[in-house]
Amino acid sequence: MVMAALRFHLKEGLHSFWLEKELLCALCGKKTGPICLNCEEKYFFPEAGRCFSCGKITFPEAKYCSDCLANKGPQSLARVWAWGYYSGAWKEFIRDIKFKSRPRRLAEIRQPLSNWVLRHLPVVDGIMAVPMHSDRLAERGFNQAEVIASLLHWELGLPLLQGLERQAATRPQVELSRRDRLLNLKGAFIVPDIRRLTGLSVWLVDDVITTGATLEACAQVLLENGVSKVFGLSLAAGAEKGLVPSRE
Amino acid sequence: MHFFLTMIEQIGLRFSPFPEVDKFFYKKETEYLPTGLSLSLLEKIFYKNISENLDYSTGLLKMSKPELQAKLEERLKGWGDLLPAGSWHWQQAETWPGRAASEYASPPESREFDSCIRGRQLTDKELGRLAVQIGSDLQSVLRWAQVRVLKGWGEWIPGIRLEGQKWRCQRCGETELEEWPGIGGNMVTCRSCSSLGVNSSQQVLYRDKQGLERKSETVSFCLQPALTSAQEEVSSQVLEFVGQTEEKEALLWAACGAGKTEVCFPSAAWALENGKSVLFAAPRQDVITDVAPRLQRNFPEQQIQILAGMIPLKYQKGNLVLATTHQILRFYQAFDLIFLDEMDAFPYQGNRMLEWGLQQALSPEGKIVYLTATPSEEGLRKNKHAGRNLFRLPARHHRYPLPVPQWLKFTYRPQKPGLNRKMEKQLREAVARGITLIFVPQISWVGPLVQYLELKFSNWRIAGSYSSDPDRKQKIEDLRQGKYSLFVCTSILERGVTIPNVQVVVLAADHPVFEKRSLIQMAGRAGRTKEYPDGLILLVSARKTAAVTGAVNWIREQNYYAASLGLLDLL
Repeated sequence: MVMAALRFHLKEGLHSFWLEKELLCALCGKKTGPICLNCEEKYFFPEAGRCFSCGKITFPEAKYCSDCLANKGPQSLARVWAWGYYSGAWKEFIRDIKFKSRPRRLAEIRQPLSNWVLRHLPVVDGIMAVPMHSDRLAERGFNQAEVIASLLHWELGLPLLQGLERQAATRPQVELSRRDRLLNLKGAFIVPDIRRLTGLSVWLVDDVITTGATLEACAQVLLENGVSKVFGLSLAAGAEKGLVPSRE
Repeated sequence: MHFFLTMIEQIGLRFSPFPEVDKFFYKKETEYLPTGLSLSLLEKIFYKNISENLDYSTGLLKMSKPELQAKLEERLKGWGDLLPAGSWHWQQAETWPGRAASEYASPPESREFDSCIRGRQLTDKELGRLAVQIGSDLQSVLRWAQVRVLKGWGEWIPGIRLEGQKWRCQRCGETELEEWPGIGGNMVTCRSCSSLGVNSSQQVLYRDKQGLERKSETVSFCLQPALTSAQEEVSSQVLEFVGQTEEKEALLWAACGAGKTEVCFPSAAWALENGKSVLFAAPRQDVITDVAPRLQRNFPEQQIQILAGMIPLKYQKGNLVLATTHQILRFYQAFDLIFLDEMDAFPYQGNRMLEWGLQQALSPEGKIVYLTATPSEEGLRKNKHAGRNLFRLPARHHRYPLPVPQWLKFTYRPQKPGLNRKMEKQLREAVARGITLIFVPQISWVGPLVQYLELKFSNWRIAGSYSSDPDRKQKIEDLRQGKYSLFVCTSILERGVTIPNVQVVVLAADHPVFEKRSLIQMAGRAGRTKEYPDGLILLVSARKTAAVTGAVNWIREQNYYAASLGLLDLL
């Protein structure tokens, strides 16, 4: 009896040990995960820089990307980071989450993402997600930026802040006051209760940065409403021209 | 969609998506907490502490404002990150925008909305599609829905709700769900009903409580073709069950091709005339396309809603509905009488989701008639145990016995399609008699077999199809028109399909997918019409399995039973 029980436990133990070892890469699904060394090299450029202004992946010595040097990027954020390069398997992973309703997959990269964030981003008062318009939310069932922000909140214990909203864009202009019109034109974002956010510094989280316009619009509204500092963070962005071919 | 904790003067507390609509509706001072959260999370946060003072169906709370404030402060301590205590403030609801608010509350499109939404259970995404159809936009439609909620005609429920410690999908009843990190803890997505579109705990379902429009009316109903005496007998039994008994459920067991759907038509007509709503449901699309013209022929002036996967989603009106069982998940307490055809067929049998959907779509006093040609032994036992009525119709309307299958020993090798001389002779014979259906157990067999047969019998018109075939609908239509002499298919044509003068060959009848009841169903394709009451049925396999013997015995037994009731002209 005892031996049988022992054998059983030994087998179970080995089994879980084996499974632990066999955790596969979330991106390529082949090598050891959660993200294998190969994919890390290919999509996350550990030793490259990130453009201070838009988060794009840049050459190690460069502070800004060429777009931002030409003043095309966002202006209001204290600094911006994108984790990976939006291409190939990493792009597929993000698209899978968004368009196939698989937010659960984000849990696969929980560990490496929070490690990376801890290493690079400054400590702040709270995390905010770029809000999603309610029509879109109805379509998709969840806001992926909010899922990423929540994941970091549960992993790192930083408060998850509410208070930035995406206004219904369908309101007819005619019936809005001057102030509302301006807001409506300026961008879809509002902070309904100013008192809540005064003096706080935040990480503003989105899934992908393209031009940085969304982050910029959010950051402007946050800063106008008393937030002291806004740092941008996203899962993926583009890379500086010349960076990727030179590495391949 | 976000909801707000909303306080309406003299009315109480609500979770409202549009405080301004509430203010407009009640014409009272309305304040709300400006942090919008998903309904499931609001329930999770506030349910425990205030539930005893909350009328859950209306959202009304009988409690003074300071009392509530104190309770919430206490409750929010545990949710410090989300709503830091002391940092939230009640805000005055705006006025619903515009000069004449009533124009917003009920413009002409909203009346269209009111008639399309009755009896439905829809996600916010589906409401968006409804909005497009009636020429409006989602935001307006959501507000009209809120007006209905305030009138007590509907309710908002979280797409997935936390029941005690367990999440449950409110659309399909599933409890095994995909979790992911969200605000205030884990959120979940349901994958089991995802073929209808995504449903998560961040979404809401609008559930209408008015049911389909029920008004007594004269129904133009003409039974074509007229029922035989045997059908008439069973039909009056069903009518008696529907109209005069207190019982809720009954089982109609009829032979394949006995015309069980037609048997139900008089009861449906009676129900419609008495202002009741009627649903004909079947698990598969092919059955729906087969039943639709029959229903239209018998109810020529009735507006019939036809809802199946292949037919684009469209919100229709009318209290006679024909739908696949999946579509039923979009209804709530809408039907007084449900006929569930092919109740033993995939995907309905043993599918908790569809059972849940069926019970949800049934009105509280509603009745269900289950229809089947091949009840399982367990099904029959359950039926007896539950004390349900059992109506039997063992013979076809043309008073000929069911054709009995023959067994032929032959091993078919899917890797190397080919027929031996005996098999070839039998096949030629079958095709000479009429259109021949060859059933194969797997999709992957269809293509190679069709290729082989085309080479071998170049003067025959041959085609094949399977469930995921994009041209399936067209091919089956062509088959009905008699454009093929030989047609290879998987179990898609196993049920509910009537093609005149058809012969049946089941290849690899000993394959595990061909269980007894599906063999009976396939055999049941033959000899269905008055003009061709007989047909050839060949069960081809290497071994004579229990399923094969069982199917043959079952069919013989049905014939004997029918003969003993005097329902056959010759045996």
